[in-house]
Amino acid sequence: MLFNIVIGGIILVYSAWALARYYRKSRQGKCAACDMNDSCRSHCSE
Amino acid sequence: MNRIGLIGNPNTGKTSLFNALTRSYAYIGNWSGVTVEKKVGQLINRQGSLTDLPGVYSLNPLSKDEGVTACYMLDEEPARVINVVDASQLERNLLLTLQLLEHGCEVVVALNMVDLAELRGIHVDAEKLSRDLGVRVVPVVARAGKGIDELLSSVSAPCAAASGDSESDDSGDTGDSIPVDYGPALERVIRETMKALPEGIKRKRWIAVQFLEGNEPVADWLRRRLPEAELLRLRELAEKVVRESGGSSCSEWIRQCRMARIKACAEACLRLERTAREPLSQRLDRLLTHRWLGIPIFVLLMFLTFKLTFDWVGVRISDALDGWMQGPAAEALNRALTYAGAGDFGKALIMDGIWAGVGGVIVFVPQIFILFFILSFIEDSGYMARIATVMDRLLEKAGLNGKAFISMIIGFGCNVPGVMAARTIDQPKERLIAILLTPLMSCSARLTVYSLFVGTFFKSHQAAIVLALYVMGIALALALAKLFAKWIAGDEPSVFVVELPPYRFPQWKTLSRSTWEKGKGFMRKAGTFILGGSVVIWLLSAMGPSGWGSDIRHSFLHMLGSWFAPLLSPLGFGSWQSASSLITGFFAKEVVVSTMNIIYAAPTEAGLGSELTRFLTPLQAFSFMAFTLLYVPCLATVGVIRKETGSARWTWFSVGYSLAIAYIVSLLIYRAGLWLGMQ
Repeated sequence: MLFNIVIGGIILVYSAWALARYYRKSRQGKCAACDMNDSCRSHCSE
Repeated sequence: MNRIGLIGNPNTGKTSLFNALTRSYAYIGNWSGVTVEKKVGQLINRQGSLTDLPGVYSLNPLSKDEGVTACYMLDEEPARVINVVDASQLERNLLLTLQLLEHGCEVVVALNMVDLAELRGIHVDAEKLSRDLGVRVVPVVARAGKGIDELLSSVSAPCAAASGDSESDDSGDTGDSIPVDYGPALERVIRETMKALPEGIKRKRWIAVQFLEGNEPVADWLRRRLPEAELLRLRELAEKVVRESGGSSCSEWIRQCRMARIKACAEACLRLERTAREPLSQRLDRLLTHRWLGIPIFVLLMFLTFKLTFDWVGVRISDALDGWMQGPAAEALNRALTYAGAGDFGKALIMDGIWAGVGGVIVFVPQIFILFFILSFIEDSGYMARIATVMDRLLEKAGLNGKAFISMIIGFGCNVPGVMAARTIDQPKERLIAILLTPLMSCSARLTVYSLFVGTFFKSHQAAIVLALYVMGIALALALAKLFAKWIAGDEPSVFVVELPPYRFPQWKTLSRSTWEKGKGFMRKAGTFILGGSVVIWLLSAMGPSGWGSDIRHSFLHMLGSWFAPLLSPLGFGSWQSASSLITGFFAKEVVVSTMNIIYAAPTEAGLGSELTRFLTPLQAFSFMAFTLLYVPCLATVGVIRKETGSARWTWFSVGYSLAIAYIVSLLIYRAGLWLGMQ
């Protein structure tokens, strides 16, 4: 029972985190991760 | 911090040099447009950071990726740049070098690929070039690591600007030190423009010349600092004095002055030796880029690629991995769970959810790695640029150009970088069309679905069926390009310039790293998103309105699939299982296979295959594969399309049109197959 709770809890929390992170990154696109995003006005911030 | 920029023409080996100088690994391809964003790495001697930038012919940008380099020079103001120059294309490369010298930052020229240049009878005197340009010139062979130590020590020393010599802020002000003299009349306008700039601005001469040449990012930058009327006056004045001096336009005048300077430099430093034999690259090109044979050769090579991936090597390794994972490994995990005291819930979650969902995808890793290895080989050998040239003729008829095909080829690996690569396309509307069409290319994630289905339904024609799907994606993209070009692009002229680098045999080290870099994203996804998705799908299959542990036929997953299944019936796969797999597959295409593994409770590839044959015929399976190829881009691709187009409307359009195309194509395949008496 204890194993079910501990392992089940870890797996569920990890799954939720992995899905949320993937969703967040997908929404951002790659430009958001570029550290020139703030200074590059001509194209990247489009 | 010693910040160094790495700048050069496309395909001069910047990324190879970046990897050699930083010991990091960035994606390399022996063709233009690989780097579409900057990458930053630390020098191996930890004496500074190095920024790899997209290749440009000039600091005056034409395309979106070139804009990255222009705004880097404007905003980041690097103290020093390494200018990578292809020794065999010296004259063309020096056009950029002169602009960097005008910028006033410290320039170190890395004269790359001197070995290939020598083979072609092109000898560059590095010392003379150094004296002529007034900068350090280091001959290197980036791929082989030659000259790297000398280059590293050249760029690691403190530079003049960093050591407090702020005079360099306005370098080029005085007549003696200017890299290019644009003639007395235009020089007066340049000086007037420099005087008009507010105090404290660095690189005044470079900004003035770039502005008068028509560099739009620089003009935008100036509009925030000077009145529009003043800028207009300066530009008109420049055009007037150029016309009075006999020139046609200011930008053309500037180009001619630079070309004259380059010619003088080349005469002093360059010695050409006639080689008796025609280079191997040219002989190969006569065959591989042949007007009629080019495309059949490309299709044949694709067929061989799939033969290798599915029939000859990949499938054997996958079967062995599948047998091990679902045999000894699964048994060991089951025993370990029992030993640890796991109850029914824990065991079901791990074995039926994670092990089935993630394992079902992992077994296809060997095939995916083999495909990536061959793609890397094609890129690094120089053949990729030829494919773009060959396809350019077809794309031209469809209203696009060969650069769009480069996006599409990158899309074979993963659609996300494929969409990103569309930045190298100069025309905004052509870029948009390439972005919309790249998701039709069959990415490696879809390969998991094909592997499963061809292994089950088309055992003796695996490579031919997969080739048919890839060709279907390309053919539809071409047909739709024609339609979209009429509708979106109008009559805008298109320009296609691509480097044709000499052929070379790829280095094993580069190939293995490139394959790993492409494939590791797939492995990471298996351990994160696919794992998380498998858990959610398993929970949905084990829960229903009546509560926990209900029969799968009363689960939420069954309900979800049943709503959509009738819509798919005309296509031949109207079961709730197919509908659920396709819905979850929107998040990532590999999840189609994970969902099937969980739904059919068949952890092995062979077991799932025999389950599938109970529900689908080969014709229905082919219709399903075609639908998987075409229906909606995955979530990550949708996110990138949204960012790259900057428009929710186009993003929705890309989702909507691909869904409609998938439905029509699958319907046609299934109905035509039935009509022909197929099963």
